[in-house]
Amino acid sequence: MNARNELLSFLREEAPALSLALIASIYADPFWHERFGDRGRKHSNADGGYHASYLVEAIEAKDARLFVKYASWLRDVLVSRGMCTWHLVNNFERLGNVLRSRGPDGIEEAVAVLAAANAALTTPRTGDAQRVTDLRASTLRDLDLKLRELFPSRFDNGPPHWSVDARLYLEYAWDAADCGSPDVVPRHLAAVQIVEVKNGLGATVTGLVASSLAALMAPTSS
Amino acid sequence: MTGVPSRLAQYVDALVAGDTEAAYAAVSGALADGLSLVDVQAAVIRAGQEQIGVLWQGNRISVVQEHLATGISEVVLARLGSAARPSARHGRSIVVACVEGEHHDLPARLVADWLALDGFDVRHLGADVPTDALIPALTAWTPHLLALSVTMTFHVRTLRDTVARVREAAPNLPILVGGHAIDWSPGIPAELGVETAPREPAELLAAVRRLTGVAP
Repeated sequence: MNARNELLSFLREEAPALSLALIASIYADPFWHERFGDRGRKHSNADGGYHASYLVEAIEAKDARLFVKYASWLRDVLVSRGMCTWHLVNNFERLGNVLRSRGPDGIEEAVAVLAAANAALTTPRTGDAQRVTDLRASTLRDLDLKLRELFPSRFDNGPPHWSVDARLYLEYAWDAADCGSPDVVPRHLAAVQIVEVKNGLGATVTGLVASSLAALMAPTSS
Repeated sequence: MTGVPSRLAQYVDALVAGDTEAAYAAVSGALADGLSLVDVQAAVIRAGQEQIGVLWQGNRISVVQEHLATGISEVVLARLGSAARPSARHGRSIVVACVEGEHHDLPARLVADWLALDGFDVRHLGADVPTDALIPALTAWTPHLLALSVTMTFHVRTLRDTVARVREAAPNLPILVGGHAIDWSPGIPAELGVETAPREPAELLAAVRRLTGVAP
């Protein structure tokens, strides 16, 4: 079997299971079940299979743009349903690492396709998204400090870590700016609030985050 | 006269509301406005379904609403078809099919309708046609052209296999391929040595007439 056929054979026969195993490891984070439940898990598993299928087609057609189109389409589906671009980017990064560790010679072609998709996904589509990118570091630092003050044992006995993960809030803010949907952040905060109230914490995180992001999310003329 | 954008908006609103009669009223209105049947199918029904897809993508409608919209469009097409007056027959037969595993049949259905209206004898096999069944059917029927539809990119591999097997069984049969998967991978037809089905009805019909030896 030549190298190309070996690569395609690996992607067809083994990549789907590797992708599913990756979804399982992602779901070890309680955020996913809290936010999206069993239905979300079912769709995530299906998406894991599609990632592998589209990867195969992109390699077979020798055209990474095919996978980029799929990723861009999927991103809009997922962001409108409560995820953020970073979730998909992180999934593809981790999938690339898994494929690289298990794949045959030539696997870098598949890893490069995933990287091309991530480059496209993380390119701001609006001036507002670029502004969030530019202000990301300072806003993240300030928000993270405030959250650490509020929940000093954030990953031990505190609330689920995702509800105090400042980085994730910034990612939702980026998406709100990038897709021109100002409701992305309030929708996510509403979901966080439900978990916080369930954990007897009141709505502390959501209020803090809302005020921190207010200046960042203020509309501009661009 | 109400314009196409307005009729299209009226059609999409009806689909979102799940209202078959309102959807039919929109296309009837477009016909009364002077649009041809083929143009109504392309500019209102097909365009409407594409907008439904975008609405689902953006989580503006549910998957149930999307399925209902497709069902309504199928009913509307059937009603329009029952009132259609096809052109004089060419004596040329066409087989239209979705590749095995492909369940999105509406694009193929539209192509089949346009070809039938233009005077071709059409066998529309619908969704998910098993390749093992397609090949002997083509051998038995000896059509003048095969049109294959593929919407989801992960069925392109099946398209490759199908074309290869059709080529073995009927090496001189002209093949057109089309669908969303081809829009995303426009190089596939050339790779397979087949033609791309044009998106616009007039161009599609011109291509089929050329490939089947019917005068333009």
